[in-house]
Amino acid sequence: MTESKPPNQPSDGEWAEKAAAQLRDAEQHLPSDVQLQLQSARRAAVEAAEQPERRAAKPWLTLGAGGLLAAAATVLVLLSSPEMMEMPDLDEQELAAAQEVELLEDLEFVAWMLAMEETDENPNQG
Amino acid sequence: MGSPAELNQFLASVEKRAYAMALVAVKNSDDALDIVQDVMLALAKKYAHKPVHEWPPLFYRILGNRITDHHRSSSLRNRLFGWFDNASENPNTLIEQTRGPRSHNPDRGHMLATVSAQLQQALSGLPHRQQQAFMLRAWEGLDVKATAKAMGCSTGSVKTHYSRAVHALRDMLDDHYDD
Repeated sequence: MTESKPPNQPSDGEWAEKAAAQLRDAEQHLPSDVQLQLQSARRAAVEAAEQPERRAAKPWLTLGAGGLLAAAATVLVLLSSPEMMEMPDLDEQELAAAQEVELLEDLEFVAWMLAMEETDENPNQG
Repeated sequence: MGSPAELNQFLASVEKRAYAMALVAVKNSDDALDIVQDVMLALAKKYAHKPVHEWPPLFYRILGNRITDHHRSSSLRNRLFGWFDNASENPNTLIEQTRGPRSHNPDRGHMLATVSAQLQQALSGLPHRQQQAFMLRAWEGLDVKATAKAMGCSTGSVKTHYSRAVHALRDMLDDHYDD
């Protein structure tokens, strides 16, 4: 930066330093109530810096973190056990057998229903 | 990472200057105190774990951001109330209903006691970036690199803003410091 001021005048740097010195002097003469409030704010800030660990110990945060861990563990267990994730292989015979079991159960139910109907129609028999 | 004692020491070393800078920037002592309190808390909560030598640029970066936020919200408030004033048929009623500016304590004043009114007025009148550059380079004494970090810009921009700030101040104050 070229300085166009005459030689007898201070350079920009010297001028800025004089202005800054006046500003620095002013900050040492702040009203006492302002200084007290600044000290109070500083104490609060330093205390806040020491608090994060305590904040992490809040019960709902712990429970939330525990719940998330439990959910994650459950998902991991399910994913890691193939028998839980894969459908059983059923061949045609097994499928047919399963269907027969259902039919047999149905037949038993129908027989029982018919027997009950007969009992209702002839209550003195039997 | 700094200890609580180091943090306390650092904040004690910058709190008065930060307040004075905020006061010059926002021209209201209550707002300036709020801003400095906010900056201290933000540094303590978010950046206390950083190395101690990184605290000054971080602190002044947060301060600059808070001052910018204040200017934005003030501008918005002025536009909003300006619109109300223009739209109202009975401006006196709205003036009575509208909450006034924050308390202006005449004892505390808005001026720094030992700074000439001309210098403070001239500094307050600078564009925000020039104001920042002058405050950080000349007042706080940060080097160009740290100032760039605090302002979130390049070192070239810092030099430009600072140079313009000094020239503007010299022009405004004539030969106030030229003797």
